[in-house]
Amino acid sequence: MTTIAGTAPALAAGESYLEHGHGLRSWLLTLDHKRIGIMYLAAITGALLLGGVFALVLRLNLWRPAGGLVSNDVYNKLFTLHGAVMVFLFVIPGIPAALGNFVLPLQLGAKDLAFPRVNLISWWLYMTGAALFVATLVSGGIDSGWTLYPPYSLEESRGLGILLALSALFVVGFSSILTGLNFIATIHTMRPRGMGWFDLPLFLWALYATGIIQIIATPVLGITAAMGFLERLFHLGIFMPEYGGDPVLFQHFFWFYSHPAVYIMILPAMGIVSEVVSVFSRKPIFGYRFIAMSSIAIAVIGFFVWGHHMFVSGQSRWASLVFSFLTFLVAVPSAIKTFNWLATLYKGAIDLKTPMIYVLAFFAIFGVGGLTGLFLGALATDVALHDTYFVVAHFHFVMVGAELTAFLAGLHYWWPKMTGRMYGETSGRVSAVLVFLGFHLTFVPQFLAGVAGMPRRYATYAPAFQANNRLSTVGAFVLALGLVVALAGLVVSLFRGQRAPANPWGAASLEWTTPSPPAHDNFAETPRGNKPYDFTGLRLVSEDAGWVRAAGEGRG
Amino acid sequence: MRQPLHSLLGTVLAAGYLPERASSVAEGVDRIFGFIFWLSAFFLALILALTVLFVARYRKRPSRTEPEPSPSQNLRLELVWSAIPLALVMVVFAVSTRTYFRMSEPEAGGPALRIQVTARRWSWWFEHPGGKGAGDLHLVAGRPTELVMVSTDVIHSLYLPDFRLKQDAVPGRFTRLAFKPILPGRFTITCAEFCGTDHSRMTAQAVVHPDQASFDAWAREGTQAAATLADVGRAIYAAKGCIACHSLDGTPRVGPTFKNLWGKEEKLADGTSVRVDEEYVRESILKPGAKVVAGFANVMPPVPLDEREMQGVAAWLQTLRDGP
Amino acid sequence: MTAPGTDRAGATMPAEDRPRFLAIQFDSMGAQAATGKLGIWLFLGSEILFFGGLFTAYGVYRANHHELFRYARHFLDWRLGALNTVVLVSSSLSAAWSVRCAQLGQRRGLHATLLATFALAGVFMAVKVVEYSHKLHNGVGWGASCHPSEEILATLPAAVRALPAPEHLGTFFSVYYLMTGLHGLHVLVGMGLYLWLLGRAHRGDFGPGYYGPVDTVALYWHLVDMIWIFLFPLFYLM
Repeated sequence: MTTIAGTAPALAAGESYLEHGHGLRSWLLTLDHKRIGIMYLAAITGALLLGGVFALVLRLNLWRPAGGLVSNDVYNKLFTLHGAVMVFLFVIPGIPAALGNFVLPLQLGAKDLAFPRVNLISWWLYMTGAALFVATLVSGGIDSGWTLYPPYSLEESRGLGILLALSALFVVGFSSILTGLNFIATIHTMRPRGMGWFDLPLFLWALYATGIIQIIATPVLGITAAMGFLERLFHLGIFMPEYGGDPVLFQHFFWFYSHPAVYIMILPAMGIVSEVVSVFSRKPIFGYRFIAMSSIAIAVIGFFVWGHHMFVSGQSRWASLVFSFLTFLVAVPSAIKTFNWLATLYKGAIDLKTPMIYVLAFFAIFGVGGLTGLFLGALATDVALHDTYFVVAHFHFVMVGAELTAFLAGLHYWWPKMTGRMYGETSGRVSAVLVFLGFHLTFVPQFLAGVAGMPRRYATYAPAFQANNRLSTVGAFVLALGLVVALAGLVVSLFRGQRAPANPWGAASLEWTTPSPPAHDNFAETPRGNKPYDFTGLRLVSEDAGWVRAAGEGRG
Repeated sequence: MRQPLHSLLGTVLAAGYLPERASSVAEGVDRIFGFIFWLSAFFLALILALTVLFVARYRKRPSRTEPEPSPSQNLRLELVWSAIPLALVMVVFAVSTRTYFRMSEPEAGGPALRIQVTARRWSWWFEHPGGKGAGDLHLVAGRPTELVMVSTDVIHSLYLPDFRLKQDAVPGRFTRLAFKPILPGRFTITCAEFCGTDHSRMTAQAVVHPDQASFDAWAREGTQAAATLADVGRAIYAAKGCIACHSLDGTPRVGPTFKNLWGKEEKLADGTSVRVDEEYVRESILKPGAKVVAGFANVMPPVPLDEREMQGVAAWLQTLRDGP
Repeated sequence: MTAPGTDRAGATMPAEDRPRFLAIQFDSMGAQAATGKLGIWLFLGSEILFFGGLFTAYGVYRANHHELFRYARHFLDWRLGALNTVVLVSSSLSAAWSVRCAQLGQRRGLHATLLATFALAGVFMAVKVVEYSHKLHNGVGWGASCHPSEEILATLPAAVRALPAPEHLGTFFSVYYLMTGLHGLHVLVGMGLYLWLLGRAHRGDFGPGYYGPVDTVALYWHLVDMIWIFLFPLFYLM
């Protein structure tokens, strides 16, 4: 048998990271980035399901203009917890924590992240924050919206749930900072010989840019949560007008974090898109440097646009002008990336596996999501559209449509590597189509409702909006079905899936040179860096053996 | 070139989606909306078309297992598709900002009608020149208007979809909204900043009178000294915000309905019952927590009314009974 | 910053040759130290943003309540503040010195400088306790609970005492307690870290081949010092 460089021999039974150490403690106290990634994956999936159930109840209540399924107060608490759980426990940690943790060291040929103990602490902080959110829910909930604007959120009559929620924010934020710190340190200093900055897989450029945002923006969320906490307890007089404070100051602090946070959500998603579109076109990604630099540009410019959430808050016209200008600027790198991705498809050999179908869905959805941002960045139209369902539809297009689609693409893409099993293509493709259709049926009517004047956070609404609301409710259940099919398919594959080869997709980045699943310490010896999008010499030997690179070819 | 596009868009969307254009800025805003819409539609169509085209043409099949050779970078292409979006967003920024600044310039048409707006949970109160207050906003078609807004509790936002206008009302400071209504009629006002339980019911109407004379006639109504006690009570109902929690049509809301309330034997939360008379009404207004009706929460704030006002409320409640 | 020091074949060294404190994911002590250094700088970056939010709040409130800040700072004893500044700067000196001692393998020097840093931090906290307790005993709380007693009002300079007390005096003290309190918490954490270092130094963990933790904690300590250097003039002198 020919010695094939870059192919990992199959592991003997009992040697994969999944079997290295048994029992709960070997998981809960693990330092292995792969196990931490899996634990994060389980946790964020739970968060997705919890937030999703809340969403379905909301949409059912909105079936009738007069509501009535739940009381207005319960509705208000549900949309608040839906937002908080989804944003802080699913979308923000999502791709970096669940997929990034697993894949990053492997793509660098490293044995682990720079700081494995910090990584474990990150996970425990996330779980503590999640517990605090659950405690908030159980103790009666909060109903101010996930944006927690004072004076409403900090009023005495709201109860003490706000203290639990602010603590949860602080703790989960700290988890995010430590993850970003770990990723940047690892990518910066632990690249193998032969892997310069422009030889990094684009997923790592994305995680690096995301890490910058996590480190710089999240502390401001932390201090805002702390100030809100103390304001509520000790009446410091920072945000509450009755004690001499300024509620609009809270909005500045809050959005200084929460706008860059949306780039924490989307940049890793874009990184996955770059990986998948290249591998499943069997072509190097088009415009590598421009995509890499666009990620950094989005991260940097994204820090200066927060005021576009506050155009009607009483902010000065001139401040609004500056924020609007910068908001338009930040749209440009996203456009550049989109064109580069499309150019990658050109003259490729496109394989419509599940990850690729999700990525194609991403192009359409991100297109709409990004373009509808223009209406909101424009001052004249934002005055009318702010705080309406147009905004709700816009951010769901980018946060659910784009980010979730990319997450599912990445999850399916790396599933064989993480679990050693192939997922079922049929259920995968069916789920992608259901998610795509359900998603559009849910959120396109919301654009129309918003343009027609329906405000957001409404438990009841004027009868004129009924048709759009009903379409949206039906769509939500189709979307939920699609997600259930996806998750069910993945879970079933754990037991009945075909055994995965090291490289089932013919990809060229280093994680595909390890067995599926990898050994506990990833690599016996540090490999030499290669060109992550150089597919020359890779041949599909068989379904069982996967893709293999002939000796001497494509070693960058 | 923008004129024909926006008219076509106007026709299409006016069929069900864009509200009426009831203010002088609405048309300008819609024009920006139309411009962005067509621009976005073009680029979305481009993205979709290229995606579908490339997937169809370059799909992997037995006759096509490898890609055709093609470069993986092209500086000129990168610069082109960087420069064009940049230029386009700058144009959108420029025209939208120009419209926005025009929206805040003083309007022609005479001295502005200045109205004080108070937002509180969960109703609006508008004080018009001459002292006439109402739960609805009264305006004059063609006359520039300035709203001076404040909130007495949490942040609210005055939103008039037909005017394409919105402005937050923030406790602790004044905010302003200046505009000119151009169509007579009644238009919706909603609250667009979450403010609690009945945020979605914090609605009002903008009543645009066709001319100053009809506005003046309205303003004169109800200010005669010969207003009856029941009129006083009815005015209190709107002015003090009772309208937010107590319906007049029999539906229980945050609080019990006032329809057929007078004279009723009301069951209380502690199991006892009480007859709704002047004493009960007085106590419920000044110390609402003393007797809470069964099935309702103890959330009513005390309302300081003087004697005449309380008499007025009692008199008016009596008019809300069916039959004698 | 690539290429950890591997042998020529790229293989990691055999287990017997691995230095005691070299973690599995690094191939050389040099690589580990460099990465650790980047890690602490990134963390300090996040701390700067964390305090940055507070400094921004300070800026906004000072701009909106200028007279309040100029009046209220007289409640603070600038001499105690200056003492604490000297104490903290000295502790930064001893912290830097401790890194040098570790680098040069000077065990006694390392012990002494770590202890000195810890002790000076303790002095800082003691002065803080004195300042806080004096104010709190005299009714100078935060927010709505700021009702200065006659005794403490008598300590104000005559020119200041003659001025009418501004509204919302408590707001100044809210910001003061919040910022100096958070800073004090960071000092306490630093003290804990120096105690930990003392323990490890006692066990003989540190030497010219391995002193990363000493370096890391010292960097943290310098930031804590630097934040105080901004707090002191902003509250006590301006």
